[in-house]
Amino acid sequence: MNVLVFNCGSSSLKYKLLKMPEQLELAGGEAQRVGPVTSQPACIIHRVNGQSTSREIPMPNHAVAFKEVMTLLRQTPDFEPDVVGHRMAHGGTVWKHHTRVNTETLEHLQETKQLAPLHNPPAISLVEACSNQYPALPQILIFDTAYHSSIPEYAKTYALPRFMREDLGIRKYGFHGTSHRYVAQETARLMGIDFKTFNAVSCHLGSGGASLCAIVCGKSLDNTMGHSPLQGLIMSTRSGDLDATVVMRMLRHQEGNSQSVTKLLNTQSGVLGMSGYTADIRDVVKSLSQPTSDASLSHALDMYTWRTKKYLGSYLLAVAAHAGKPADAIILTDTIGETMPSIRWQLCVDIQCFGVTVDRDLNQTAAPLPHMIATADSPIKVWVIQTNEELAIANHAYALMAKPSNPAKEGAL
Amino acid sequence: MNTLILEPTLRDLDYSLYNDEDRALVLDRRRDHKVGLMDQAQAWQQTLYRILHQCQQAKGTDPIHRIALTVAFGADCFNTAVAFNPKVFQKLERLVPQAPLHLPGVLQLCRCCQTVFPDIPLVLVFETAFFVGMPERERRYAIPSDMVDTMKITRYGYQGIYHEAACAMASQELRKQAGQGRSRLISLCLEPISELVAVKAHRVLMTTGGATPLEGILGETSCGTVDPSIVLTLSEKLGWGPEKINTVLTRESGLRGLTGKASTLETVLTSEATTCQLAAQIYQYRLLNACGAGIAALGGLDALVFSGRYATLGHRLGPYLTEKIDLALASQNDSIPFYILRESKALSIASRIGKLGLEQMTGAS
Repeated sequence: MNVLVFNCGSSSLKYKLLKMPEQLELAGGEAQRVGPVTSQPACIIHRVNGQSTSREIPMPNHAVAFKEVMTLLRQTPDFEPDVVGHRMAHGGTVWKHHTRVNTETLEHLQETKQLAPLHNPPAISLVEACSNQYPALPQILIFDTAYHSSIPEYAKTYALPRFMREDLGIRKYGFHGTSHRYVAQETARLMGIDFKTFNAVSCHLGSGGASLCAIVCGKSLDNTMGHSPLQGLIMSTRSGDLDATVVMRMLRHQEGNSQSVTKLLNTQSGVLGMSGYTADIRDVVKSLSQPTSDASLSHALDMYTWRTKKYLGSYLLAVAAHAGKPADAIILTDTIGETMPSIRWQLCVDIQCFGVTVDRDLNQTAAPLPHMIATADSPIKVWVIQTNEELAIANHAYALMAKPSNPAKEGAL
Repeated sequence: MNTLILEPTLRDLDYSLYNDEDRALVLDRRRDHKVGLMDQAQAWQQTLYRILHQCQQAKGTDPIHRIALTVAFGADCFNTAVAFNPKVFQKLERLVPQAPLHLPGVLQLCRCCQTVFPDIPLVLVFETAFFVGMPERERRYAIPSDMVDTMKITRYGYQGIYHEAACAMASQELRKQAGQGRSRLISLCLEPISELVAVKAHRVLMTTGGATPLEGILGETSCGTVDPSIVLTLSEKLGWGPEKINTVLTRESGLRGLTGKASTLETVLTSEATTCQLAAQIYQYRLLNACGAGIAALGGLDALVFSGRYATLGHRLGPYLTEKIDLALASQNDSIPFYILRESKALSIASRIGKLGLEQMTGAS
């Protein structure tokens, strides 16, 4: 069975065509720097049989990226997918489990658009485009929120009046669940620990979005993202945590126009808002090595790592408190976590108190992945793990399709 | 020598009288509720006359030699208590746009103090002073830089008086008990809006407070940190404007929102009622998270210290938190100690302002 996986990030569109259950990649790639202009041009890196080609293509939005990716895939006639698996950031209150697409699903999906304004709208447009172009092709939705259904009541409840919590469904959902679970399972396997007893803090630091996940006994205890993917860490164009009063002041400033404040906090803040010219923290690090770098860049990097480090401490304590012992590991993954040793160092330095000591040389090289970068005597191990959300999505999609019963029933509508 | 200590809130005025020789309060903290029911200047003046009358009853004639007034917001302009003068007044006037609800009342109160007590020196004690010098990385939000500059959006802390006194006490205890020179402290101020700060060598490195006291740990009626998108959801789904959202998030949320009724922190943490249990769990979990962030900011921890009107809840929260922290800091040999500052804010103020204002008076005469 060939599973075509789409992983729609806030600034990227990753795709993979996998032969399952062999997990054999037939083709794959990534449309990078989709959306706001950065110092580097947008491009698609396309892989077939291990050979990569890169094409610079302007991609102002995900709809254009999807069209270009499909054009590339159609160039190889044998690559017929049997099912498409979509990463969907937010399942809202409707979906706690992964589900198959049908007319009813498409209607409900519209309601989740504003819950994840950067992710769900482009992902939904992909689902709609697939439905129109390939109506007979089954599609499976894999929700990032599904892994976080284990977050306890006291960690997911905001201190708001009851009607907001119950009638408006305002609560923490958590995101990046597919990635957090995948890298945690991989790390547990590498450490020889049964996943059901595995305790860790997983740091998914993407070029667009980023979140930390506290994991106790293989289950999500907490996630830095909240009701939407806006809360928590500083991200490429998202502010992360912000005093609610500041949002009210912005609303007043924008004469009550919530759409423009949503846009400001989701697409013009974060690293882009602080640096003033790039949404990519890699650009910031690179620029800082130049002798004429701006002080705002230094602040941007300092704030990015500081916020993440505080949450790391917060979750190391939460994991120990719930597991009754310190975490087994810290996991660093996705574009920034996998490729930026300077950021990994900033996060893990000076927290020996928690039992974390990173080896400077191991951190600097950290290849090939997976790679353990803590010192031998560090009680908490630090792993750099390549996330593979596409494989995780393909596994889920294949499992749902392979079941004898109607896969649509797997989704709890 | 007696110091009248005034602690204004938006609606009330708390006051107490401190005697320097006895190092004790002659008149315990009392509250006057009449403020806000009439013209504010008139209300403040009447309140001050009533206070004067009470002080005279308590201490005889000429009972007030100095007034110390707490000011919740002084931005970065005041890193210590100051004697009031026209320049200070002008500085505060310039800060009004950043604290439009609080500072106009404070300025009015300063004028009234000068009218009612024309010959008595006035000292201003700022809650934000303790936070001046907090690192830029902690102060700033990740929003467009031009917006930060034009709207002056910066993180502060709001319980500086308690934190400063608590950290001084904890440092002294650490020196006494363990001969420890350095102090990495987490200070938890348990008030209707609680606040946690991480302090290293007398410098605040991290605070749960935000651009306003709304951010951070949930309060008795305030929501604490929420996803910023929730404000926008309320605006879109309910059609609420910023004022209505502000009222609900600051007055109808927090412990009140969770339990469905007005609840003090003490009630929630000590009650067996099921309605209080979730609220207590949420509060404790948020404190735990904030402690973890503070430990990461400090690179370790030497002690916890509790202060505020609910400081004695530290007897309950201290063992809970230190047990968890000990699990996480497994390589640390000794258990993390916790201390409780029992003195009131008025005492903290009085014992910390020294001769400020009085020297000026002597010099002038």
